[in-house]
Amino acid sequence: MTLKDSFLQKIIRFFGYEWSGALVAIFVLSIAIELSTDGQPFFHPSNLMTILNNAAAVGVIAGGMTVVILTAGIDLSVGSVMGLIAALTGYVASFWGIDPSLAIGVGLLLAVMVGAVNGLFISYWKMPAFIVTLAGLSMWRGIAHLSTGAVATPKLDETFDYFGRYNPLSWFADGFLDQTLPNWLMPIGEFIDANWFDYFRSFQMSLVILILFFICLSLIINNTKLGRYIYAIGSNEQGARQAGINTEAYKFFAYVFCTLSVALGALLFLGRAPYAKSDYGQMWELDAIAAVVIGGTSLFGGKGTIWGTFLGIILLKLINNGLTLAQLETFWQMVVTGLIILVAVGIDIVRQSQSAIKLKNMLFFTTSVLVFFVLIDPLSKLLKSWLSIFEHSAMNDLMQSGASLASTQAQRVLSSEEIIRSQELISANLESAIYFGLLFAAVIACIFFAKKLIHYVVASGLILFTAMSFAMDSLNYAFPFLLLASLIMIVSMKVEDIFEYAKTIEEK
Amino acid sequence: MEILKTTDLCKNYGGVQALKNVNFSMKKDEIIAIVGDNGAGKSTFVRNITGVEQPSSGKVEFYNDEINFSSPLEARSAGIETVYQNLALIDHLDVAANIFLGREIYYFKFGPLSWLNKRKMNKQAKDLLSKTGVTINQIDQKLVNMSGGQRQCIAITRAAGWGSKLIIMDEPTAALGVKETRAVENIIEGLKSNGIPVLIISHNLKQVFKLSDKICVFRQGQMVAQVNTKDVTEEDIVAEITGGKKEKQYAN
Repeated sequence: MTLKDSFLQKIIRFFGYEWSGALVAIFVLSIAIELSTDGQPFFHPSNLMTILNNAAAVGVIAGGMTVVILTAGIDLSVGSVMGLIAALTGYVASFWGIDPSLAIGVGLLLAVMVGAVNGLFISYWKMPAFIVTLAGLSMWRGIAHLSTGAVATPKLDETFDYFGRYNPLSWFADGFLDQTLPNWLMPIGEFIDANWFDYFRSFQMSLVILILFFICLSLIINNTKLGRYIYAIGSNEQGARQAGINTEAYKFFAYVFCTLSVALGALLFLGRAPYAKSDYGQMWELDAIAAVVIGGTSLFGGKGTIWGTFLGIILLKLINNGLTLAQLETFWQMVVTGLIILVAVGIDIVRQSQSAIKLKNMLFFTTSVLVFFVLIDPLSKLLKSWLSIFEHSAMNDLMQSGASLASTQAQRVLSSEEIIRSQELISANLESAIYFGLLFAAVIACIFFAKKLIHYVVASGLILFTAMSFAMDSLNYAFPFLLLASLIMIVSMKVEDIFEYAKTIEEK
Repeated sequence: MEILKTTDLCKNYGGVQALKNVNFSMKKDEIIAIVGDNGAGKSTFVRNITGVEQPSSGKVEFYNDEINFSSPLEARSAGIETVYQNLALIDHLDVAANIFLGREIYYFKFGPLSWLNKRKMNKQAKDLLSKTGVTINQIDQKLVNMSGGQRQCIAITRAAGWGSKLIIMDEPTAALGVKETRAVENIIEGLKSNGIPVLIISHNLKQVFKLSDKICVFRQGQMVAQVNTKDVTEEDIVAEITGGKKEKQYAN
């Protein structure tokens, strides 16, 4: 076997791992972000730590969700349960005057109870997990609002900071400044203090807990009876039962564990939040599920890894960050999360079919979604300006016909400056919206027209746009997504060759 | 020595009598094949021995102990291993994990958090596979892309690997190609030479004649014949299965 063969074989094996896609995407996106932003470099420790801090709460929940999904189940109630636990823990700590650590105990107890309810219905009473936890999604949120009166607590006790914003290194830095540190630790304290603002400021408990949680979880899932049985149950429940595994007990445990990790996620969130409120954690179930499936865990169970989910949550935050740079409305994040779930699940299904053509089309679709992410910014501004001018004239017509306008209708009537601003927005975004729109349509077309020539033309167009977005400051936000899109496009055109090649290697 | 014996075993589902007074006996070092048409009661018979179902009346003796298993797990711990038609294998676990499923070896035990001794399991799995004559290159390979024959071999190895006192196989080669069928048949013969009794349910008469020492024919819930394989021809058995030939006596 030649060197080239063994290299290609390694690559093919790498892409056989479920988490490989997420890793490559993180790699490409982060390098592209580094290249395209001028200000603070992306690969700066404090920036990376900030990403981990922001990912911590939902990341821990995604870890618990992975366990449930590995058993071929799902937990749609994690967002509501997170709200319930966060709200009640904060509530009893603030209004019942009990010790914060006791309040945390209350939160954990609550988690065990909720998890036991889920497990009882799903595992022992054989109700579909989807239905039970969908009911829970509504029910636990309602209970959260009812039990706390849906009001925010005052500022939380400092104890909660130990789950979030507390910086364990500040002990060294403070000790150095007060000269209370033991002598042999002084050099460390000095070093940390000297580099505080550059490196260590963002080293919070959030990321420490996140990483420790994932290390422990992956050790447990990969090395214990529990982990092995979870995979067995998810892959073939009947077979697992025939092998003598108490499938009910292990599934029950999976749901309790998931809710416990939700409780930890709630504490991590409280550790960075100013107060507790019952509307925390809305739509978090989607972020958690998205992270799990991006990380390569199959929604059909039995297949996936814990570290895949870790990569998944990082990738999700990275995409969110990239879009935040473009200053989009937060509602677009929901659209984006939905699209990401669609892509990740699609890739999982295609992977199982092992068909080159399906994989190719799925990669084209992934490319088109990335182009769509770029299109969002100009398109949303364009549509918004168009709509506001249209609504302005509609309301004007209504007024002239003698109707009296309601206050929300009257707000639609624009001043002349606002009209000018809208028109400016239209002219500023029209071109890029059209170009990116055409590009998006062209990539979509590749799915339906299996002509090599078309694919080459579209790919060259995409690469051209990528180069332009790198060169032009106003399009810099688009560069990371377009670079990733170009790479995926190039790979997808080679998918059939790669499949052929993998076959010949196997035969050798 | 008789290892398995049933006396007047009956099973009723409501008004339907699925098994009628089955008097079956099996000696050590025997491979017995159970044949019969669909619905003749072969699978019902096996289910009532292995604890999946409980007999309505009659007696089952296993190594001279009267037994009445309430679950497959009990039958398993008593030494009856069943290779189901669905094989009960876990696609997304590797070969060693499948062979040791439900009987893992641990570094230390601590409830669900018992720590797996993967190295020892891999080594023992390799030994077991080579003992049954199965060649599988990578013991840490997942089953998901393996052929039907390889999977069948793994399932049989799993059943044979536990010092079991009786292995029951439900259609072991039904879904296999020629080459794979031969591999599985070799394994079954190997079990016999290792002194493990095997009970096979099969539709494939050629195979039955090749492997078995005795043939039991089931028809309409009754065991209509239990004969030495070498004393009969395929036509005789077909006649028994369909009920075409009656009143014929065999030397037994």
